[in-house]
Amino acid sequence: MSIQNIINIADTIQINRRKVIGIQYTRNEIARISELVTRNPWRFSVKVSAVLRYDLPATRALLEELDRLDRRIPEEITFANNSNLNWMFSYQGSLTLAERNTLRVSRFGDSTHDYNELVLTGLPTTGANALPTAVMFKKGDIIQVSGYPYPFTVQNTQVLRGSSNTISITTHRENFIDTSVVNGSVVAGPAVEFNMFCTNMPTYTFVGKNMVQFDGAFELYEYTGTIL
Amino acid sequence: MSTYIEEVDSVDRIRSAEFIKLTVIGTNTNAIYTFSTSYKKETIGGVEYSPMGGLIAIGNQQRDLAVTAYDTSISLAGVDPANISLVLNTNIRGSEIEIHRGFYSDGGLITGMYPRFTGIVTSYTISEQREDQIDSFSVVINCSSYKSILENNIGGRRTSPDIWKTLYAGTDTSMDNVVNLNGAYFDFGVPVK
Repeated sequence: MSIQNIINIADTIQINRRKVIGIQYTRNEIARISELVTRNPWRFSVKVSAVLRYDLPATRALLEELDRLDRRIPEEITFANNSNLNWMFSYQGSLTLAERNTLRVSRFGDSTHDYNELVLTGLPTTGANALPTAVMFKKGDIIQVSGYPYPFTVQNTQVLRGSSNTISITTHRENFIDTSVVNGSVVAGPAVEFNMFCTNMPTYTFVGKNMVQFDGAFELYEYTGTIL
Repeated sequence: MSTYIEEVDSVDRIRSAEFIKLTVIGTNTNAIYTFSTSYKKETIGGVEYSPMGGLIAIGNQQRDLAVTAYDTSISLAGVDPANISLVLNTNIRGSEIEIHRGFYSDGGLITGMYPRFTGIVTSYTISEQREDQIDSFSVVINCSSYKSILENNIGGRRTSPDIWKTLYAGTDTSMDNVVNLNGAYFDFGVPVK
């Protein structure tokens, strides 16, 4: 729980979701873009407050745990546990938590369907959210298949309930988890989990009695290597 | 005959990955290793290519209108000991290597596959670089195209009757008298008596 602790006390969090892209300009200045298909991992650059109190037991435990994780062990983190951060990935649709829990993955790509098309079933059949105009998701909403800590974001402007048994969502990246996600439940909103490891674990310096500070930002990188 | 690659014709944006098939020639059976730079497993032609299966990078590849001889390299992550075992415990030199380039739609579906390089592995390098607290480990296999191999190939036929007749089903008698000439002494330039 050390990377999670760093998230919880973060001063700033910079998010980088850029793809691997090469751009060439022709003689007449027309851009030609070549993209490598990747898993488009999440990357966070997290800065924490300048000085931590070393005399607090939590700080010593945190430092020890960070030294154990180093740059090699990933940890699942979430933004749900902290009221100061859970606004970042808040859910924008109208589904209640109970209604979201009934959603199931019907399809997330196969040989004939796009791998960035997430089809969900288990939609509400009664109440206000059973109306065709009810908003299930909005652009920027974040969604994860339970048990797979690899969040996807919604790219549709908004996804309405409609009259079908399913809804179709275009995600920001393709499903690299494979078809094992079919029939799985989903998590939407700040409770999604990120499987991150720290590619640049900063060292720390004692700057006075019982005062310690980190020497740089925590560069977190989504670890997707468990899916082969 | 030319191959028309519609995925790159009149488009300003492409998405692609490279697929490598390494066939290590064995005494009895061949071992086939397949991996790609793609984001997930892909099955192409009945062969499954694992994503990033230890693959770091593919070296520069020359593109010419005519067939030219050139070399390239493939880097494998040495973090996985299997890659070191692959080059040390197998006859990787001389293995066949095929590189294809696959084009993807925005939805992550392969729209076309095209051959990019065909050749054999000529050498390999295992290197470890430890600098400060960063330990980088890599296995690089160098590959030559078949044209390079053919250019360096020394070929020919022996001028004996048997060898000559293997090609023409015994009808070629051109070399039949060569045996009689073996060891014969020729007194060139001496007046005929």
